[in-house]
Amino acid sequence: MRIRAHSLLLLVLFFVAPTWQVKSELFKTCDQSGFCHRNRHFALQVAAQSNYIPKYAVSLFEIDEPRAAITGVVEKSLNDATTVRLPFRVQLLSDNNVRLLIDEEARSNGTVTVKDGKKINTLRYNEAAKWAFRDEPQAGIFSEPVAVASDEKSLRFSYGDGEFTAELQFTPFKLTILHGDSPQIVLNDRNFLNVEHWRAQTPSEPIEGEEPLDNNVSAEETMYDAFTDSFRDCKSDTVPLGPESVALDVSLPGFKHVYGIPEHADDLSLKDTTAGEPYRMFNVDIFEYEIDSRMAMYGSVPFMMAVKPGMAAGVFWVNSADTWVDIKKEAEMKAGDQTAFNLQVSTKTHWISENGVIDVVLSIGKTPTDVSKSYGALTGFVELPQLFALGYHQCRWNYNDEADVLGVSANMDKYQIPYDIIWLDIEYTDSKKYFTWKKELFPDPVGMMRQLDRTGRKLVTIIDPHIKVGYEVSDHLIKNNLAVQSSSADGSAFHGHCWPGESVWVDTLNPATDEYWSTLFANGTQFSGDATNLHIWNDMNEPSVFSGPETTSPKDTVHYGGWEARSIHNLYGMTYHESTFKAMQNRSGGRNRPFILTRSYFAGSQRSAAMWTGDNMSQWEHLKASLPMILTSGVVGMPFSGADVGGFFGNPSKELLTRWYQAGIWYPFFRAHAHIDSRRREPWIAGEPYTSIIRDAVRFRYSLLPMFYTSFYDANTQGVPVMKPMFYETPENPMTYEIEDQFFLGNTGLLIKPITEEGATATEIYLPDEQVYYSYDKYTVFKGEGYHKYGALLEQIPVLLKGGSILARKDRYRRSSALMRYDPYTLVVALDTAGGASGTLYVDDGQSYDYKQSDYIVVNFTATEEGIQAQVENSGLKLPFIASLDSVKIQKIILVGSALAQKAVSVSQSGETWDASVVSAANHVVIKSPGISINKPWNVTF
Amino acid sequence: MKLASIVTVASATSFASATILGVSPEDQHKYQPDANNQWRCLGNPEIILTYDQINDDFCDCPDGSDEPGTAACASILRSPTRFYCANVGHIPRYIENHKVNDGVCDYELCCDGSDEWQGVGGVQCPNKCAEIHEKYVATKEWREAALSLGLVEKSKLVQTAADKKARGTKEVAKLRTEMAQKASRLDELEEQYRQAQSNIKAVYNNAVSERMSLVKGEYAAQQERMSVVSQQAAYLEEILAKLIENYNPNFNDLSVKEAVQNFQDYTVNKDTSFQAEPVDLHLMDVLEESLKEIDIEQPAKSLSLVGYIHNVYRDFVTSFLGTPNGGQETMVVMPDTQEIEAVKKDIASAELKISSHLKEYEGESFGEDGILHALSEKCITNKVGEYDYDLCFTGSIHQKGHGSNVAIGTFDRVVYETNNETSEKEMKIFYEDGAQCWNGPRRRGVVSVTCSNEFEIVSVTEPEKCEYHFNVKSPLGCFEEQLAMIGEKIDVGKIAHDEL
Repeated sequence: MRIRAHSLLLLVLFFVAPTWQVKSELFKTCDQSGFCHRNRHFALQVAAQSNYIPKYAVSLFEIDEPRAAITGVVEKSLNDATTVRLPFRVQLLSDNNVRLLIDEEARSNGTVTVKDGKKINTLRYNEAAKWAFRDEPQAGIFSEPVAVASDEKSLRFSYGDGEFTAELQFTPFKLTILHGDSPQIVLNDRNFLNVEHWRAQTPSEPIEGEEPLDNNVSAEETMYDAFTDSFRDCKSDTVPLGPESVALDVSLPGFKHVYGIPEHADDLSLKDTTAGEPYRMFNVDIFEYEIDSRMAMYGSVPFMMAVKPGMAAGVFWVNSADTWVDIKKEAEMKAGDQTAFNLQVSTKTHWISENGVIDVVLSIGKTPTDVSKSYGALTGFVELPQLFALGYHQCRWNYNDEADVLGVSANMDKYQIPYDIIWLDIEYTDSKKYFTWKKELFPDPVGMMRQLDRTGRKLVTIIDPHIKVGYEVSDHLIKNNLAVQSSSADGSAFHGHCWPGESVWVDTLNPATDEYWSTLFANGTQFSGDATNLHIWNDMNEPSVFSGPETTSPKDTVHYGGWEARSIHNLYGMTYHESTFKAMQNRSGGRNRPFILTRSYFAGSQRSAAMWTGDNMSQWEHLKASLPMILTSGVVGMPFSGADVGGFFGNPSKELLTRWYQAGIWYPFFRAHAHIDSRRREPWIAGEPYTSIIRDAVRFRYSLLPMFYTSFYDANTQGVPVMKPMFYETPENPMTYEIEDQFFLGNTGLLIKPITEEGATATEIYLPDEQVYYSYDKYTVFKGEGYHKYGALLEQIPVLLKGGSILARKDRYRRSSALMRYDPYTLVVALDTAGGASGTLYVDDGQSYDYKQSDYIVVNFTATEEGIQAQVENSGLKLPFIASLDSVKIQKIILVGSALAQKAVSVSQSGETWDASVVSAANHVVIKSPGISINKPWNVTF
Repeated sequence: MKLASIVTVASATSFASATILGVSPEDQHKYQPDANNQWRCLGNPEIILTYDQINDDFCDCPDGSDEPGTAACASILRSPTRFYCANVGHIPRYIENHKVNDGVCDYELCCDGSDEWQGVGGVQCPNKCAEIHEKYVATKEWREAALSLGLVEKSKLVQTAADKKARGTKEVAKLRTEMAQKASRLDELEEQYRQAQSNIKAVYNNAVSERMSLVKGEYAAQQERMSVVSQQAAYLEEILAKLIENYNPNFNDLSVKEAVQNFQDYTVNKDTSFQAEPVDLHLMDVLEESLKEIDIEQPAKSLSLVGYIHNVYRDFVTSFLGTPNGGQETMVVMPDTQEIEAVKKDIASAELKISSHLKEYEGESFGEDGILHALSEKCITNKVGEYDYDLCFTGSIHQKGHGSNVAIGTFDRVVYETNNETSEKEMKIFYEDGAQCWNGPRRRGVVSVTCSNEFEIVSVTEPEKCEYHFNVKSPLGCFEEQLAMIGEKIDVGKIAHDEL
């Protein structure tokens, strides 16, 4: 017996061994990262000295009136009284954006060389903006001419109809954005500005307490890891240009709450980092990530938004290098009011990047929506997706073969669960060689796609940037220098390991790559034939390199233009999915909008891809954490985002899976996904009552597709997040600033609180204002600012509709969104406390770019106590899609909060008038079959 | 406008004006107006509608019965109301109302294209019933012929199984007679054996003491060596366990992955009975005492215990004690235990055979008519995807390839199920307890048998890790009742979309 017990114990030990947790030792802390270490040290030293003499001052400037810019030189003083010249430019852009650029003269005039004959670009990287911005930014207009202030120590210009002022202080260098006289954004407020200028490698570091050995190293600096990388996995990663970091502090007076700078599995409102790690932005394949962490993840958007009542500000740090942001929340007296009762909390941030120029854009506006719009004007709004992409995506690593794919598809129909897209993960390929199929399992992929197409279904296949060595694609990349290069002087391709084993990486910074990449996705290839329903998933594009430092490519690998990966790391993933986007556009001859899912992203990614939060886990905490992550994504202009429903790693309980679907239907990107080692969990596996509850949830999503699509239209034109944080709806109410477990669907008035607690039977929903709200299903009235109890049994999804809203939805179950196209609408008119309501519906063909030629309609509904009317934008245009809507009717109008007691109402459209019957029911009345076409204006008179 | 849409509905029907769209001729009577030109929902007669609310594209009845011809009630789950397709020239069918006017020609049910009577988005579904019916009839005849062939093969298997059973019954009778004879012979032998026992004890005890001391010495030395070796093994296992715990699965170092994989296999499949465990030397003393205390003079109650003691004695004599001096050896008269053992073995084996025969031919573990007995020697091998699969029906399934040979499972049972969709009988054979998966269950296989006159592994899928589903063609899957269902099973949609 002893023998048996002993061996059992041993077995148990082995079974529990692979516990799931992030391998944090693979990733650097700030202290282990040379430039972060140095800049934190620098900031601490500067802050500690009360009599610190700032080192940066404007020495020279000129005003470029027509381009609304000030250009000149900032000088950095060194120990030996010499200075480093740093050319700068402050420019007003459109939409109340002010941009500051600082370069280093010695780096831009070519006096810096690199030893060992490496052919790398020695400029400070200045092309992050080229990738991030949608177009060349438009210059703004000064409201008042630039004037030197009387003391000649600063320079001011006003903008935004005179409402805002930018003030440039010369000594020390400081840039302030003011609203009236009140500062809102202050650059270099704390003198943490640091441009590590070029210098030759010195033999040793200064010893504490002694005079520095070298004039170039000031007393507040350290040279920790300035010329080497001593982190465990980075020792062979060279640092050819030595210390070259840029850092700047940004103070946000009176702003207690800041948001953005994803990607982190953390709260919506960013935390004070003084006692811990800064937020890091460095795109990495983080395996089994932790919640409540500031560790780097798959994507980066270096944009931060600050919000307070009456004012919102944006800070866009246009830098694609490894970046860390420290955040400090400080209570201080309000300016001009010294009473203790007027303490205000301000947020002070410190931005630290490994290299590049300083390029920062400051936005200011009255509301978060204003700032989102300014940011969108610069980087572009989210691409309007095809309608199907807002449907339900069914994914798993992996659907094994054609029969499996078609079987899952058939089961969705059998269980009457609508779905639009089925996905194939890496196993469909022949030995992980992208653009090939494993023929034994997928003998006729094009036939399979054709079969899916019969009911409007799409297929998404994965195409990653690591290209296995030894077949035609990698051969072509290597031969034509389209692969990322190693750091060796001969410019040979970088080789590393990923799913296929040894691989090279496609260099999509190279414009020549696009052309070749397009041929791989072209019609008629072995890969995709003439399929019209194929779309693409770009994964592992951080890039993930299994054999590389911090799971990515070494920073000294080289991209097109001679740029080190160090400079462009965070935007590589975007260049990759942009190339795929262009290739897929070309595939349809520029006719259809491609759907691309990316894991890695950067500012600007919203123009061509949706994102998801990567490899989460089947745990309640991860369900909960998905909400602030997706809300954050919306704040930074990337609203097309989602998390794997069910959790990627592990096996969710039936309850967790069900709740995850009920939450997931609100993700702008709604996809279920599962790891290859997890149990099957398609909706019918769980059985009753779960399958029916999941079916109801998915159908709920489909009924609201017109509203999701309209929300995307608002995002596409105004920058409104689709999953919209509470503080966008009521920015004047600070109670909403930290709420991250409930949200609105765009501007629809739908307020949702997903259940993320195990065993919940009820929840509390916060109403942010005094408007009336109605429960979605029973139209029960909720009213009054504060928390309200709401039932949340397993089959219940807490959703309220705000009084004053008008929803348009499609209530008929169809197998896919494509088959709902000609179905009639149901309107829900929820009257507000004043008896009015309004709403918007955007409709186009859901597929092509014809909407850019005005082949779309926007219906604006308004309701009063006298009736309901609709105005229709583009109604009179004779365009094919608009005409096809003649047959699309409104089948039902549900009036909520109305005292209407008549038996019939009068309807008029296109010069005709008729009656429609009215039926009353619990808490609402229904106008039956009003016979209205959706594409022409109409009136219903009570 | 509202009137106009109703006219559209009515005019799109090809029926007489009194005919309700989407309702079969035999159900039309349910859709007659009453004297007030009203009508009651079929499932909810308390709900009274005006007659023109039928098929007005607005769902009024909770059971959807007012909208048999439209998709207005499409969201009602498992609605008793369905759209009737006349399919003239073929077979009338019903289609779910959500498929009505959705822009898809659902020919698998509506070969006449009548489900798309509204032509939404310009969709046109021409009537294909004539072509479809022709193909349908040909396919049906072909399948009926195939099923007949399969049933012939199956009847042969049933016959073989029955023959085996008959042989088995005969065998049982024969075995029972033999058993009675053997039993009386055993009584005789045991009596002789008891008489021989008394002489053994003294010699035995001496030998035990003398040689046990040598054995103890040798055992201690072996144990010492053993302990060194197991310490080394434990050390190596600890290193590898740490590797498994700490290696980064994202790093594709092939040698590490292979090491991890192999060690995982080693761990889960390790024969735990070989676990080294120090045994107290005192146990040897206990053993010596025990050996001496055994009263071999008295005949034991259990015959098998006597046999056991004799075996222990003999083993000691031959393997541990060496040959004692010749004089002693000749003094002991050994009883002829070999024959006792042989007779006992015969009896046990006969008992086993009888019970296994009885078990096999009663109960259903080998399928109806014990049909799998006909296949007790039958194995089929097919390459499917990257692997070769060996399937022995009453044995095991193995997956071979990539230098490995993995046991998927061993025959466990046969289950007959009724398929929910086709209402057809299906045979499933379960194979359990295959090789252990790392971090998962033991592998298992489920074989779904489809009717054919030949044997073939058609496909293998692994819907989840370590659970293998086999689709196997065999006469085992042929059933008479399938004949009536053949028409239903034909995928008309496939004919319509792929072949026309």
